[in-house]
Amino acid sequence: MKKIGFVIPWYGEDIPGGAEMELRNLAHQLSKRQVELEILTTCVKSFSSDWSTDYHKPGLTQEAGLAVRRFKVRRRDTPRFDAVNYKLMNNIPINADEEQIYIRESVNSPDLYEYISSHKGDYSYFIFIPYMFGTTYYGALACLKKAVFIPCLHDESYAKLDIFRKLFPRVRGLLFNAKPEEKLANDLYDLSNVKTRVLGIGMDTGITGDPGRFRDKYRISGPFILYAGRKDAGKNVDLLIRYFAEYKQRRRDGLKLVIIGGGRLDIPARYSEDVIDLGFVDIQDKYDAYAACSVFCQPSRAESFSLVIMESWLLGSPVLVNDVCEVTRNFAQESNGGLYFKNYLEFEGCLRYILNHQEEARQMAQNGREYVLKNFSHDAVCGSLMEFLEQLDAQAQLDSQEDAPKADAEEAEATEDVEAAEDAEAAEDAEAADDAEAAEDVEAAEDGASEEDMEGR
Amino acid sequence: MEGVIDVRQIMAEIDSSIDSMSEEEKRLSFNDGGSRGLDDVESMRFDHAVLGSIIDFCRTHSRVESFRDLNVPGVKTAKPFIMLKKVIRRLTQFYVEPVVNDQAEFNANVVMAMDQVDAFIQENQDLKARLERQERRIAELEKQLNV
Repeated sequence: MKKIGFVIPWYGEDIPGGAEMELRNLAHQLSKRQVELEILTTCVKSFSSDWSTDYHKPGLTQEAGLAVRRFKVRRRDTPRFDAVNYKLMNNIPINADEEQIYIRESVNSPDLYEYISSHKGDYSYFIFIPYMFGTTYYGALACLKKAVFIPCLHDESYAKLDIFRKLFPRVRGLLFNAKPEEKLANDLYDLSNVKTRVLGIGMDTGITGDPGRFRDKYRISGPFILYAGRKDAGKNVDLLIRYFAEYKQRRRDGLKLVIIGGGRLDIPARYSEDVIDLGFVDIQDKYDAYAACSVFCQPSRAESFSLVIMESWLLGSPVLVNDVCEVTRNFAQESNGGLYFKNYLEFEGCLRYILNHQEEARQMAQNGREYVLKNFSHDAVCGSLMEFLEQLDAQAQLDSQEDAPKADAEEAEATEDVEAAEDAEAAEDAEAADDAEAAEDVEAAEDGASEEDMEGR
Repeated sequence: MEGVIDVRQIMAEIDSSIDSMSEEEKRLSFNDGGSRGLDDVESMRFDHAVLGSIIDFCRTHSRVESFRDLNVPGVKTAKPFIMLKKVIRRLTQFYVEPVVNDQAEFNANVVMAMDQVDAFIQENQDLKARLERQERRIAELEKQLNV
C-alpha cells in the first residue's frame, strides 16, 4: 500500500479542536505502526485564525515525527461567507447560489487541490476530516476514487446542504466516530455505493488510577458523582448542578458532586459544601478521581464521541449519560456500562440504583472497560482503519475490471468541477464584462417580448 | 459477562418505580424541562443586546428586492442560462413584484413596532437604574441617621 494523505484545513501539534485532535492522535499511532502517511493542509494557523492568512510557510516539514505538507490559501470574501454562515447557524434556509458562496468562500487552497489532482498516484487514499470545509469539498472532488471522509457529522444545517448531499454518495469510503453518526449519514445521504465503517477514536487503554490517593489529596470522603470537562452551557453542566441541587433537597444523604475542568460555574451558596469544584487538575489526579467516584456523569446532549466516559470505564466507574445524546446513550446501551436520564426523576432513579446496587454498578463499569478495550484501543482502531482501506483496495480492483470507462468519466467530471472552482475567481471579472454586453442584448430582447405581450393583451 | 447486566431492563425498572410514585413525590422545586438542558430556558431570558442585534438584522434585511443579480459571484454560469433566467423574471414580474412590495411594507412596519418595543424597554431600564440609585441613596442616608 502506498502512503496515506490526511487532509485537514489546518494542522499543528498544539492547536485545539476535536477533529484536529482526532487526526493528530490517529496519525501518530499509525506512524508508530510503520504506516507511511503525510498530513496535507493549508498554511492557516487554526480554526480561530483568519482563513485568508498564511501563518505557516508552504512546503514539506517534519513535525513531531510526521510529514506535514502545507499549501497557501486563496483570499476569501469573508463578509459574503459570514452572511450565509449566519443563516446556516440560525437554521435559516439558503438557496443553491448561497450554498456555492458558502463552500467557495470557506477555507480553500487551489494549490492543495492541484497537488492532490496531480500527485494522486503517489497516495493510496486521501482521508479528509471534517466534512464542512472547502479543503474537504474541493479536495475530494480532485480524487473521488481515493477520497475517504472522517466527516465528524452532526445533525446540523451544514450536513443538509445539497452540495454535501451530492458529494457524499460519490466518495470512496466514510469512517464514523459512533453508530448514531453512521445512522445520521444514512438518513441524510444515499450511501448505497459507499463503503462505511464505525471506526471510533483510539485511546490509551493503559491508564491507571488510585482512589485512595485522590481522597487523601483532596480530603474527599464518602460517595460522589464526578464530572470532568469544560464547564459551560454547551456541555449542559448547569443542568447537572440543578439536578444535583434538587437531589440534595429531596435526599439528605452524603452524596457529593466533584467537578474537574476549566470554565466558570455558578454554584448555589447553600450547596457549596456538596459541590466541589477542583478546576484544572493533573491528568493523574483526574484518573484517580475516575477510580474513586461512584459514578461518572456526562450530561452533555451533543457529544460526537466522549473520551471521558471511556476513561471512566477503564478506571472502574459506571457512567450516567444524557438520554438525548444518541452517541453516549448508544455507548451505554451497547456496552451495558451505564444508565441514562431524560428528566430529573430518571436522574434520581439512576443515581439511587447505582448507589444501592454496588455489585451491579461494578459490573457495569467492567462491561464498559471490556467494550473500550475491544473497540477503542489504539491497536483496535489502527487495525480497523487499515483493514477498511485494504477492503477498499480489493473493491477498487473489482470495480476497475468491471466499469473502468464509467469511473474515468466520473473522475473527469469531478476534475472539471475543481478546475471550475479554481478558475472561477479569474473568470469572474471577464464574465462580468461579457455579461454586461449580453445583458444589453437580453434587455433589448425582453423589451421586444414585452411589447408583444402588451399587444397580446 | 455482559449478559448479566441489561441496562435497558434496569431503565425499565427505574421508569416503572417512577410511575408508581405519588404526585407529591414527583413534585419538584423547579420546572423540569427535561434533559435537553437549561440553556433552552436560558435562551428565553431577556437580553437587551440580543434584542438590539435582532432588530438591526431585521432593519437591514427588511427591504425585500424583487430584482436580484442573476450571476452567482465566483460561479461560472452559461450565458444562455442567465438569459433564460432573465426572460423568466420578466414574465413573472407582474405577479412577483406586488407580492414583494407588500412583504417589504409589512417588514418595515414590523421593524418600526420592534423599535417601539425597544424604546419602551430602554425607558423601563432607565427607570429601573434610577430607582436602584435612589434606593442606594436612601440606604446610605438611613445608615447615616442610625449612626
